[in-house]
Amino acid sequence: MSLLEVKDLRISFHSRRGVTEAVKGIDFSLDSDESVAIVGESGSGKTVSAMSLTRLLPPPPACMVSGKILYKGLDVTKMGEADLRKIRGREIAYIFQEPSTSLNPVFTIGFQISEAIRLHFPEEKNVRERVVESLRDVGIRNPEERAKSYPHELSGGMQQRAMIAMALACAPRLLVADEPTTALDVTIQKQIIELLNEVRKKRGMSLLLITHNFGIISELCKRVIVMFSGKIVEEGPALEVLKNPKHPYTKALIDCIPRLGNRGKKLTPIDYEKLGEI
Amino acid sequence: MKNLEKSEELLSVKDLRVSYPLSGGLFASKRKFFNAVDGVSFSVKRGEIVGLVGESGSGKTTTGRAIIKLAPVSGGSIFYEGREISSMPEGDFMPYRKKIQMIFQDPYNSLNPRMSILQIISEPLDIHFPKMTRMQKRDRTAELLETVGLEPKHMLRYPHEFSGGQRQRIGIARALAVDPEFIICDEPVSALDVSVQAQIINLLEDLRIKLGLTFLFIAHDIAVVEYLSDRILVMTKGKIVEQGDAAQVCSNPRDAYTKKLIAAVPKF
Repeated sequence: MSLLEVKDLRISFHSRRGVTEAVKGIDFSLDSDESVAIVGESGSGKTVSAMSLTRLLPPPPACMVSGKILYKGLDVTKMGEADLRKIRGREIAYIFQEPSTSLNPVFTIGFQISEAIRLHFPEEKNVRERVVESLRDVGIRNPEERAKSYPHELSGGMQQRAMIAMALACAPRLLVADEPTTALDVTIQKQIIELLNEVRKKRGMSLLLITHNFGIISELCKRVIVMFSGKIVEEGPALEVLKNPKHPYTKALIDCIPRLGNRGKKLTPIDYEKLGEI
Repeated sequence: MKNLEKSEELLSVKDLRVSYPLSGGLFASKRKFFNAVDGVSFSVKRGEIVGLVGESGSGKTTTGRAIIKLAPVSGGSIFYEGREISSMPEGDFMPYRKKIQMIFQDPYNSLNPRMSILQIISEPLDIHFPKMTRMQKRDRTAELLETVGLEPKHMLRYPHEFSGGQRQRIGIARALAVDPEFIICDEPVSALDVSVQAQIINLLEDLRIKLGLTFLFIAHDIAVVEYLSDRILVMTKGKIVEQGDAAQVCSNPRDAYTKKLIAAVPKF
């Protein structure tokens, strides 16, 4: 049985201007210990799909029209708030794109990590040690001191490490990383990718990576799902899709990545008119 | 000074230093300083695109900002068309604010949400062309929007009605409004999706050819910089560690830090 199974998921947003369909019926599954990437541009519905896994979207304006989300065989869409809270953070944890806005500026890093531990393990006596341990795990030097820092005292890369520490503090089965490196420098991006790879292997955790950048996928994920305007247009092993994309949209998305050794050549932006309605 | 040949040095920076006082200043006997830019020298020729690469904290943005006095220069000098601009009083510097324009990194924070696109783009016109009539400003805005690939009829809309890529185009239109010669682009594409990034890079290349502009292109991604630049400067810890022809630097890096930057570009 797969760890996560999404069947015919449809999500729309209601506003005064009418109804917008963000996700138009997608199916995918994720095994335990597997790493999968969902790739697409802004507006493709990739983040909305990921958020809906633990029903993080606020009900109005978001509305799940139909579909099933089975986590360990249980339907998340039919769960009550109390059951959902047991899954959020404990079973499925998230890392968001912008570490500087995801962290609360008025609490220390240590306090914010301890919140999750205290919520999911009320019996735990050594919360402090666990916080320090989780900071050490993500390669933060001097973790005892750093736990007392406020978010603004850390660099972007450090903040993202703290976010990862927070997500991993409760040893989740599935980590959803939504554009974890987009706000970071390329050199820091490389470090964070290496870190994610390392913790995933060490803990045997599943990873769902959400990104617009094909470049970082092959280093992290075996399988890739390509989304375009709310639908899955292509799915397959990451290396094969990268080398031999079947769908014109996938090809266009790969072509527009800047690579070294192409001075003076033009980048090819995506020609939506040519792609038409898919 | 106009109509000089292409090899003319437009901007020349000599031993530039920018330092910020560290905390504990006021009553402490000795003030300590952090050198954000620590003796940087380079020059930009007319019509050239020079890429400035480095990590956050390397001082690349501060260097760009120091040129237009958005960061305090604490040492060295900056020459524009042979005249020293770093020590000029603000009144004399005014015409250079028209010649040198800047495009900022974050298209979300660099446009005032309470101003319409027309107001945003005509604000620099109000300052540098006070004699322009309202109709002329409207026409100029329409023309600029067309240049950057937006619909002129959208000029009465507000920034939140546009996507990230469209906002960056508005930022570019604002920089072009006063007919500048030299544009400093501070990470113009790092906040954008890869597909939108490609559009903006191509737009900048088109503008250089069409308007004969000179660019200082600041970014952390060396692959992006290589696409556009004629020459590349690599900066770390406030110093330039390598500079040279773009293809040369990327295919045959000499400095260890440049090698590290190149290794960080995802390969597949």
